[in-house]
Amino acid sequence: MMLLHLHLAYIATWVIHGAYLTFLAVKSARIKRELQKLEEGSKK
Amino acid sequence: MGDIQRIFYYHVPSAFAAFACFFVNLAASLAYLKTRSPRMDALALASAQVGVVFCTIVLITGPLWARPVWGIWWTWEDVRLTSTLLLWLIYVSYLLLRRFSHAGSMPVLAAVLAIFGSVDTGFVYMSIRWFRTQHPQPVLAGGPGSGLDPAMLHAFFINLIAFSAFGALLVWVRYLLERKQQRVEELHALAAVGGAR
Repeated sequence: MMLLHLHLAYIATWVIHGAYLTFLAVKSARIKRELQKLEEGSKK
Repeated sequence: MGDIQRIFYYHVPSAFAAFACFFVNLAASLAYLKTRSPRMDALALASAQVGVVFCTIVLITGPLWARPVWGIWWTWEDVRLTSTLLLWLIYVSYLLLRRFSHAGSMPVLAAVLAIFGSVDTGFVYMSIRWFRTQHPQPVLAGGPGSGLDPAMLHAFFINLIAFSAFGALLVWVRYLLERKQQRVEELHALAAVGGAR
């Protein structure tokens, strides 16, 4: 049981960090697209 | 404790990173209240969000460590555990406030909430010194009789530095994103003013 809990703790830690990095990547792509659209719109 | 003790190298550095993030959040919130600078507002949001990520890890790895060692997942009578959960709830409500409130006064309200959150951060840190708890007494800076085995100290400090550096990197990336988000909102506002004319 000890090793199972140790592995679960490792997995939980990196799953949470992975999920947050994915969230940042998705958010970054969305903001980049929106910013590009707005800046093109303001040039016209 | 055997192998399960190795959770210590994840659990404690995550807690340290969370505390550091909440401290940055307090400093940025106070600076925002004084200067009303959007940069400080962005830093406050970034540090609170990363702090919640690390605090979530603490709240998950803690019970996973406790079950084989104490025989229980959680106890509500332990001040350290309960106040940490309360801390997490305060900062989650801070993030929800920022996400769903669109009022002009939202950054000020969020900054005030952050000050309340920081009071609990201090309480969480001191709780194992002020109360008898199921949670172990401090092993670092805990006074006479405390301290880590030198064999553990080296690995612990490497993890502490690595987790802190990773936390700082996440805060920086999130801060830059929030600054871009602020720019998007600015351009939307300009477009709306231009459209109204």
